[in-house]
Amino acid sequence: MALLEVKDLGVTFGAFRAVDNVSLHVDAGEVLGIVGESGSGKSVTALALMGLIDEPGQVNAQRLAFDGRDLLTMPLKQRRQMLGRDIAMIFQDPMASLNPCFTVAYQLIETLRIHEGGSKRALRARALELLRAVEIPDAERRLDAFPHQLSGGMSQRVMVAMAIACNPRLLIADEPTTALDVTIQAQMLALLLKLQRERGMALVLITHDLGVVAEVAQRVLVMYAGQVVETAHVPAIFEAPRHPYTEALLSALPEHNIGQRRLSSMAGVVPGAFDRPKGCLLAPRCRYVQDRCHRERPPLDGDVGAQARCFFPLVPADAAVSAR
Amino acid sequence: MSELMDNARSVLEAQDLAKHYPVSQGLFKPKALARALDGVSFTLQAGRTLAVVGESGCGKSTLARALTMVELPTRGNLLLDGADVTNADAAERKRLRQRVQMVFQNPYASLNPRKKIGQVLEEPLAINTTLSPFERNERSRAMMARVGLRPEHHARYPHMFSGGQRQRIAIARALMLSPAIVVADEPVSALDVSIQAQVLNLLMDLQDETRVAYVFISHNLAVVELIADDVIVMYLGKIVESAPKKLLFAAPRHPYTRALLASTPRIAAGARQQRQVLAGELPSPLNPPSGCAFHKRCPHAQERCAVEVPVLEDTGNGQRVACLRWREIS
Repeated sequence: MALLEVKDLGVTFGAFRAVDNVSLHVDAGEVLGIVGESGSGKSVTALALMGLIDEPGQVNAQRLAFDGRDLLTMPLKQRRQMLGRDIAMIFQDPMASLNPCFTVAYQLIETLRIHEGGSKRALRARALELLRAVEIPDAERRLDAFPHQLSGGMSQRVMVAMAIACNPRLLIADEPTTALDVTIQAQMLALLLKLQRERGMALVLITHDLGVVAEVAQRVLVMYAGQVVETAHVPAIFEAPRHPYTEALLSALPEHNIGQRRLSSMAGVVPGAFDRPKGCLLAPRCRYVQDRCHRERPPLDGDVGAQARCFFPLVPADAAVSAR
Repeated sequence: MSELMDNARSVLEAQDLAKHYPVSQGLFKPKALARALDGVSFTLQAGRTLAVVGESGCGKSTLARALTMVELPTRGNLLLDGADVTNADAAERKRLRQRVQMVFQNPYASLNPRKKIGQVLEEPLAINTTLSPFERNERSRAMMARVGLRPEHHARYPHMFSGGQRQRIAIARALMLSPAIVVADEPVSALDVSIQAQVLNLLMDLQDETRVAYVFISHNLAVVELIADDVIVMYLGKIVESAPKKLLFAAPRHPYTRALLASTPRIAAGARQQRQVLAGELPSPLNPPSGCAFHKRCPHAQERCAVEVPVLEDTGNGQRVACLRWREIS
């Protein structure tokens, strides 16, 4: 049974559907990548899972279950206990996610106290142990540091320490390395993977960087304008994307255009709240577009594990040629 | 640099450029000196792209500030079109400033939200030329067409545009005075992949048309590999390696360059190198390590790396590297 099961999740802000019928599942101990450009709804999906969507946002879903327990019908108090303990999240900007007024120890211990409790001394020892687990050098001294005394990479490590404090079974990381330098990004990814393996956590990695997904994830969900357009396994999706959007995204990467005069690029931008096409959301930008695409919205089609939201999914052979 | 490049006219030449900032450590403590930029030399020819690569804090942005004459360097010379910027008088500096323009990283912050696009584009002309309002209007409309904006955008405000369009506006603004050099500080890092490709293509098209030279500051090696002709890699205010693009990516000499390349996530499993995760972070420029600034993170460091300061050496094929052990480790 899947650890996290989401069926037809929708998030609306007024008339705008930021997330549109997203279904996904995460198995215990697996790494799922969610990729998409800004405005694709990947962060809002994560926030909805964590119950962090505020008014005027509306969350609805057919099913939203963690470990077989329905999060939607669960009393709010119980859900609060679960969040932060069984499901934890780390955010993009580590500098902005830590409270500047309190020390690292205070913020770490706060999490532990709420979910586990214990004596002051025991909590502090546990906090120190966590800082060591995320490989912060000179951990004793860092315990009493304030966030402004830490670099970006250090702050993100503290965020990870906080997230893993209660041994969550699912960690949602929303662009955890975007604000970091490449060498620090490499350290951070290595750390997340190590923790994920050691603790048997499931990891949902939200990112816009396809390279990161290719190296880290086992399965990918590609999102576009609030919808899941393709789900597939790694590395199959990179070798043979089935949705035209995935293919365009891959061929727009500088890595796939070395030695060419120009990057192959996709015209236009992600549709916003007011310029949603009637048919397939990609239709105005798609190079394979046909009449039917302008009239109807395609469903997410295909076997579980390799689905594409397209009337005319690419046949692996063609796609492999054009993506190279 | 290669012979071919020596023959070409260089529009920009930096000689031992340095910028040091005094930093207050507290009321009664002596001021410390942050060597944000410490002896950087390079040349750039018309129509070519020089990429500057490095992590935050390596002095890339200070270099951009020095090149655009926002700040005068503490030491060294900067030659623009053969004229020395550092010793120029005010009138000469004003003339030279028009030759270097800048595109910033964040197009959401670099455009004045209270000015219409037309005004934004015409302002450089109003300040620096004697063109009539009619001519200014004409030129701004011509430039908008060249960067792929529609005529009706002329009377719109920045908030009505997407990130990619804003960056097009910023690029158009930089090109209004037909500069010889455009310094682009992370111009695509705030953009999505599909938009990034559009903007990079635009930059390359404009370079083909106008022979403008780019100083392209980026931390994204995949983008650099695509757009650059030459690359310099910086670490803590110094150049650690400089080479033509092909050489740098095929045969990186400096351990830091290698680490950067190995740290970049790749899609093709074959292109992925043995992941060599560097320990530690960039040291503070206030208190740089002794000897080679990189020795504390370097997998090849020896005792002498902590003592001797490496100088930039020519490897014989146009590549320059600042490492004491480059011969042994390559």
